[in-house]
Amino acid sequence: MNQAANRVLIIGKPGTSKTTFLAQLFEVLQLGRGRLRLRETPANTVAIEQARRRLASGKSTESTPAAQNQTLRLSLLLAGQPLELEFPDYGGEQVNAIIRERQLGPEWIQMCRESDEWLIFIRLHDHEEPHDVLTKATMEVELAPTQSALESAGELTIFNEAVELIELLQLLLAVRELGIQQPLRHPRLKLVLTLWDELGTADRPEQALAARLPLLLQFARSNWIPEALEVWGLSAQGFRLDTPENQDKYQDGTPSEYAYVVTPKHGEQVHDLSLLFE
Amino acid sequence: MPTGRCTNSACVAAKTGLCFDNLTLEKCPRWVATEMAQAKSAGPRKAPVTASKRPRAGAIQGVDWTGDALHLPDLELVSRRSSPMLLATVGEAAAGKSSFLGMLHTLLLRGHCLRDHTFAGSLTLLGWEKLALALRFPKGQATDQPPTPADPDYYRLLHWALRRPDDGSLLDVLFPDAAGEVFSQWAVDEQDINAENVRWIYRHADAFFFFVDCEALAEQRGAAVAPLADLASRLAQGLRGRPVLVVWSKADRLSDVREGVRERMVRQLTLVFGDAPQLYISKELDAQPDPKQLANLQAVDDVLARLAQWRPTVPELDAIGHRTDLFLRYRGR
Repeated sequence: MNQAANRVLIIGKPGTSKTTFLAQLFEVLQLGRGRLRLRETPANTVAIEQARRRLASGKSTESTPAAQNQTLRLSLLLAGQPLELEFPDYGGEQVNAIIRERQLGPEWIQMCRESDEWLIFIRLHDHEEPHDVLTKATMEVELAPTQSALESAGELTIFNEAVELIELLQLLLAVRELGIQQPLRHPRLKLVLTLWDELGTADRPEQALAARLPLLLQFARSNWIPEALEVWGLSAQGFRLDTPENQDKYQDGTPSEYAYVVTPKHGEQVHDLSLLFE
Repeated sequence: MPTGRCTNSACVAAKTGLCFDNLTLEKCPRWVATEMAQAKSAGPRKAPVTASKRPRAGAIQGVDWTGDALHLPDLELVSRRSSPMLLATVGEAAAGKSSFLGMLHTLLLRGHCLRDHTFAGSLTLLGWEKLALALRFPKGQATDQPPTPADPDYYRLLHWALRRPDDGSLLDVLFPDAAGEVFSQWAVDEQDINAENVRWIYRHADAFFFFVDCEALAEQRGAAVAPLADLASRLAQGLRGRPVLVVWSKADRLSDVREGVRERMVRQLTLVFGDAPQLYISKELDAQPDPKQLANLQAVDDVLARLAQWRPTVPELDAIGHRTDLFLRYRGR
């Protein structure tokens, strides 16, 4: 029977651990464990192979060079159901370009229009947002020299993280010609908070997002029906690879076994990456 | 223009040809094309107008908005979806109008919410960011809000799409921002040749925030009252019932305003606006959380709530069954 595949588009800015995730996912597939199976061997896995070699030797993956930013498609079976994973650019540089240049290339447009689900990889950085008038009194802050005041009035180059991600979602919606008159049920939206182990939080993923990027969550809740919106946590690596003990675990064991997702409802850590695609 | 009707009662596409949700009408799931329209578009004489505008497959596709504040020609981006609410700040130069707008964005980014609406998007995120920049301390240093250019031709419109969780409806809100100097000129001479932007804002705004600058009252005392009273009178002249909210800005300086000056100001405002509600707002942190900072969002809440009450409700028609007269039973179908 020719069944239509569930098409998942995975998008993330640079440094949101997409390559690590892919490498771990690919290892799961090759080991043949769990409910995910490869339907077709992907044409190009160069970036993953390099990342897998590094992980196998207990090293973190390196950032993907911009030159390798090409589309990767994985045709899978999840518990017998076809599943297409599409990474338009696993380095993430194009995502930055989309936000800044406000236009999408032809491949992006097609994938954006045809996908059933959007997975947005988000890294909540460990550094705090700079202070503003809501967190610090102006009296406590020295006045900037006039020159810098002039600069700040000029071209705006640094965006707020929530603003960037909201604009990215608005751009995707516009390209897909989806209006927001009614909250959306399709494509489903999953906001995936990556490098979860580094956040050191006991919160559920949605609470963590509400604490750090509340406007993004408010935007998503306004425009997607509750059944079509989920906030997940993901640790593609499981822990940092900066101690000999942790590196040993990766060198002696199976790296992909340490990857885990954090479920939206109960905040449970589950070592099964396939849950993200249910 | 395609002929038909939209099943969304709020959509005016049947008259304008522009979809409530920015879609090409053929793609809108709520658009019902009439047979005549379908026949026309399928006919050999003329291809549908929208077809030629659609990007070719394989082309790079951009979007209609830049993220910067809107200007009048851009209004169609919003007005084709809905009739936006125009909430106008009115005040003299340096009264804190731009800081008020910047505070709205800053408060939302920090997780504070409107009372009856949720944030559903904005076509001017970059514009909001620019306004909020002076309220951030990126290198531990503060910068002053750059003054809105006093050029009489200058104005900008900031946009929010808001959703009412109660009924799921979408509301577009625009905040026009123009230089305080131009408002002052308009107060003195309604027909001032340089006040065209302010006259446009005044004609089209649905509600107003009238700014009383506490710092000016503290420093210039009585001299600050008269020009503000002039501006208030000008605003009150042709209100036609549109709501006004009196906003005491820079309220962290309120304690520095002499009692006599404050009383005189209140008297003038009461004379002009009657019992218009008043709010005290500030961008300065005084307590955590600071009610005067939160009041910036509350100002929008209050005005939207009053607008919702003020809008006339559609009268209910009698049940058709009671009438025997065919003319009275006609419902346009």
